[in-house]
Amino acid sequence: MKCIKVPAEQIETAVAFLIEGYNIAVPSRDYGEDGEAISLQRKNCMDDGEVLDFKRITSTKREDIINYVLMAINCDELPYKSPKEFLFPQLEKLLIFDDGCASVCESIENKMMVVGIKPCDLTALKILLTVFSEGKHKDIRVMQRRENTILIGTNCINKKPGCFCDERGVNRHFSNECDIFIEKPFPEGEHKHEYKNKDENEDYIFFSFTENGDEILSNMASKGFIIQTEPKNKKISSNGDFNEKSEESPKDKSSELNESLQDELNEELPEELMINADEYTLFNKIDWDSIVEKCLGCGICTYVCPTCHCFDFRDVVQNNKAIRYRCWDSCMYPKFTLHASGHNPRPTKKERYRQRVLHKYVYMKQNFGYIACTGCGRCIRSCPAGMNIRNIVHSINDLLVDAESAKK
Amino acid sequence: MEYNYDNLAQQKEQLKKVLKKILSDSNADNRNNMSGKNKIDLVLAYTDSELNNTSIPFFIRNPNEIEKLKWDEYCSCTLAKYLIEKKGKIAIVAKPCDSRALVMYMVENQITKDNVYIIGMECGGMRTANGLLSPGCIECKIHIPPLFDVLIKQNGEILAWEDYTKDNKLSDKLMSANIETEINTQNKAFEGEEQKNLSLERFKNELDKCILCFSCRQACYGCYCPSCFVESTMPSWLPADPGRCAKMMYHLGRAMHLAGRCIECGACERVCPSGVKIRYLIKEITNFCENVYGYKAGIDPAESPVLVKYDKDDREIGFLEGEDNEMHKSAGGTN
Repeated sequence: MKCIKVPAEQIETAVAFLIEGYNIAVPSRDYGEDGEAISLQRKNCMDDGEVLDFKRITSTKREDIINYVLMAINCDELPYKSPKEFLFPQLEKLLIFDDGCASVCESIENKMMVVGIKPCDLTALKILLTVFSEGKHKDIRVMQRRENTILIGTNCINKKPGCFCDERGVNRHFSNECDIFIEKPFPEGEHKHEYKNKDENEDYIFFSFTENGDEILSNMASKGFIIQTEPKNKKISSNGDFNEKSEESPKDKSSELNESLQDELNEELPEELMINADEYTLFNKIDWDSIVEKCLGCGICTYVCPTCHCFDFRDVVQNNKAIRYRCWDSCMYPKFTLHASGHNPRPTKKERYRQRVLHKYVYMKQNFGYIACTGCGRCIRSCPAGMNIRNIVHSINDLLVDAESAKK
Repeated sequence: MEYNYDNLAQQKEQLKKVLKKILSDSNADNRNNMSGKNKIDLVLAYTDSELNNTSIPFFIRNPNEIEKLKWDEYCSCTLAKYLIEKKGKIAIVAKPCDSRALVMYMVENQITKDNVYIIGMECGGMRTANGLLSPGCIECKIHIPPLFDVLIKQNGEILAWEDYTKDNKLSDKLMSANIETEINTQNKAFEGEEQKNLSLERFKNELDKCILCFSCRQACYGCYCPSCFVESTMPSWLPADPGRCAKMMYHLGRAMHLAGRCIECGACERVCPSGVKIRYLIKEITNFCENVYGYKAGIDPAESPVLVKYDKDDREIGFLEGEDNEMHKSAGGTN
């Protein structure tokens, strides 16, 4: 673990060293083949107001790249889609069958750097990686992608509408589930209470948590930035849990700091959002029909979700050659559990939505010890019918309490 | 026409009154074991969401839930699609686009007029959460629903269908008001080779954003097939590789299926996670049907859909080539 303090006026230089030699992806609203084409292309689009999303920078101009990265670091919005596509792409060629033999596709991007990931997404990527690396079956491709990708996180200054990261025990100010975390200063006037010392107000602080991250920071150090292994009042302990309950909350800076942070920001930690019931009760005691009434079954929640990870294999035959693809699937689709016999164990949206909620809040906890929801609020904001997973989990808990008290 | 959004509060109070009345009528009907003529099983309306400036569908079954009702300029989601799967008699708070969707459902024999009670709302366009006009509302010129049982105007006036349509047929008015303006603006954009290339370029740009999540299909009131062509596995129409080819296949396929059926509510664009301007892809075909066959979807419940009826005098324009059959006719005449 290393730590570099960069004064605001030097941040451009620091970023220039940081990104050297990497292909960069940042949250951006622009589209384009290269840096110059972005504005031209936007004229061709129907209007502006494009969606903020993680995109690979194709520009080769150095200033352009630095600008984009700076924008990504200072941007306080949450991109519409999650960054999971960098570890687990929507479509991936796995095998090519040709002339009677199969060959593995080796096309894993090297030297990739994703900048501007918020703590909720970092936690989600950790969960995603756990699924692919700690289960019964290991997915080498996802693990290798994580190895080849530098994840750079930044803190989230304001809570967005629909976010409930605090209820899910995610600290939006810090996360160590990344290679490098850049803590940006709070903009002036954003918060009455400053939780940092006065002399740090204007500084960006770079933390590294992995070997890859350490290496980059050492490179920066060799260019004149000073590494501080243990900043005075930012002691970092590996077991300072955000809230003692569970592992899924990101490991924090010192609990001491957290306490003071919570005190000074006047933010009370709400009770953690979870479901404590067995599958049988949840299947039988809850009126799922009324819960899913409004759902249109469009599946956009699963596409924007940072932890949804179901996939499908498809073999495509073309000109005596076949390619095996892996692509995202969604539990909200009718074909998701359709058997070859024609039977579908989840025939209606009721069973499908139930699966989605329980997979996040119950099954993942049983299998991996994490609740696979980080409270990023994407599904809530994107839902055309106003389904709100937070309210649904709350109402499930209320119903369970009611059922419990009725028994007594 | 600029609409005054201050009037919406007034409209909302009237809406509450209407809803209370139909629900109490329905209850009275139930109690007295009457014919069931006034019976309403469910009311579809809007309520507040947790997010700022957004509203979500609201299913009212109980009169005391009416207080949670919402009606303001942010009620942009469409309610008509729920009618396909719901049984019983349903009252629906219908903006002009919802009402047009209901007309299309009636024309396509998906619902019957007897099973739905339409509370038409005069609407000057809804807004999305960021305050901009909602995608479908920008070009919409229909402010009065084409079909309703009772209409609540923005000035709070409540009108029954019979009163409103006493002296003129509403659908004729709507039809003529819209077509003239659209013809003028549209065809110009696609004249000339350069324009064609530009629009192809635009089309590709829009398609590149698509991630094939099919949300637009689910939100679209016109896409109610029990199984979509993209979900077919034998044969598999959609290439597995979600490249431009698959995207074109899906969007053009959907556009063709919506030929003469799109009511331009903009639901597809509102749900799109990547900001694809989907209406742009479908609009051309909608305009084609309007200009060539004079058919506008969702206006007149008595008129058959454009692709169902045949007239020997129908113009046959290949819309990709833009050639009229007038030429072939005259050539045929000389032989």
